[in-house]
Amino acid sequence: MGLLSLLRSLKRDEREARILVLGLDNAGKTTILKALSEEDITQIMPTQGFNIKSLVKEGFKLNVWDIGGQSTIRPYWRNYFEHTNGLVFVIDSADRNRLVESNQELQQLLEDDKLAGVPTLIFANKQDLLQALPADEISDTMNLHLIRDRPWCIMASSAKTGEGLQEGMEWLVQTIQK
Amino acid sequence: METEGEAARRRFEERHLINMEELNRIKSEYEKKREAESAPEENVNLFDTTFAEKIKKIKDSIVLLTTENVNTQAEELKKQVAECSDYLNQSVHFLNSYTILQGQLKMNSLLEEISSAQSALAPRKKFAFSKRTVKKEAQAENHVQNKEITIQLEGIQDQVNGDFRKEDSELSQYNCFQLKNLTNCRVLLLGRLKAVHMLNLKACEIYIGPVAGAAHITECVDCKIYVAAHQIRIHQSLNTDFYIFVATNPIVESVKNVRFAPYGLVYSDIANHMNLSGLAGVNKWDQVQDFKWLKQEKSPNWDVLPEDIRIQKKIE
Repeated sequence: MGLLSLLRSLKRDEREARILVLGLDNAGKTTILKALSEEDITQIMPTQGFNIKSLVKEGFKLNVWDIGGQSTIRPYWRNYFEHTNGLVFVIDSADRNRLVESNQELQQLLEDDKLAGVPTLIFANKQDLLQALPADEISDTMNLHLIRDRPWCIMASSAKTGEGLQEGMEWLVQTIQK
Repeated sequence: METEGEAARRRFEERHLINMEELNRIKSEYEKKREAESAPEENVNLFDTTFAEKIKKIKDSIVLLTTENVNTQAEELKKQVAECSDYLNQSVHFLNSYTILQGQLKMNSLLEEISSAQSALAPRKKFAFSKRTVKKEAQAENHVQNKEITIQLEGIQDQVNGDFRKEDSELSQYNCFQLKNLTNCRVLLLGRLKAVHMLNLKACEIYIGPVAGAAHITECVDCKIYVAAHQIRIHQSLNTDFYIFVATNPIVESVKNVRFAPYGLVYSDIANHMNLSGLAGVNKWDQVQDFKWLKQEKSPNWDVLPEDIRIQKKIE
């Protein structure tokens, strides 16, 4: 092994990853972030800028950026794309009126050069609500099986109960490390 | 055979021509657009005359209301008022705020005139259970086709001039509720929900009990909305009064002339329901954040509803 490769393998960056959490407003991004950090989820208000948390998972440090999803601030998402190692896209599974909009935003993200090939975890969130569509229906409706250019995974989740969150992040971390 | 240099020059010139064409096209489109918008004075005068005509027509019709089929006639007039409101809303971009406000006030007073004429000629129906509230049949059909994403969410949709009331016992089977495409309706949801979506409501009165999660409100015009929720998100709405209890800062985006007041709904179990939904702390009803307003001064798009015109709603 050359000197540079050796140095590269020892660089701190390998033990750190940058995760971007995106999705429409009211999808549950901030609640997921807080739940993963094991913090109080009862005082969460709509995100006007972004939230950032550092989580340690299996010796890996994750810098998680949760960016506000209101339509006015979606144009700013691209400012955060650079150097992203993992993308988390959160969907409100009970908001059927906006499933198409959600899909459009996801498609735009997947087409962006700066996010090319980045492993993508999709949370079909709010499964605690009775009207939530199950993950496989969302996957069918959004034709996720057509994603060929990167590893991806859809996980049913409920940020309020914690269901699916750990599993999803574990998949993401393992996939990034490969 | 042209040399490399000549070829490069030719390509350059061709590209230059294409760019010039494109530039000219953009320029002429822009100019056309400017022309279309360039006579604001004419538009304002045209608006004033048209608007006044529409109002006169409706006022004349109110005078001509008869006892026979008074409700149908009144509904028809209210629809005309709604159309008139639409015309006003479409014109706001070239009207000054005084004109807009005057227009809205005229619309409101027209609706009141119609209502009082209507009740003078025939007493108004009291709140009653309505039969067609949940589209269960539609849901069963759509479940078969899993590509179909227009499955109806539990709720009340596509109604005009309806009165709807649901008690806590009914609501608990839904836990998420949707009010969509309603015109001139009154809706009472006297119980607990986990999430509520309101989409495209015109001239409605909505009274909702505590929502443990978020109330997502889009495209509401000329409404009065009473709701208690953990989060309240309001988008693309106009001329609507919100009487709210909210545990976190309410947010607005792309709204105009919306007003806020503390939650004014009272029904027998409300205190208990508020507690059960985790809504017992501070009410941040007036700490509204506007996503379209970046300055330090308060956004002009929303206001506090003056105390003397607030309306408490007590339900038996």
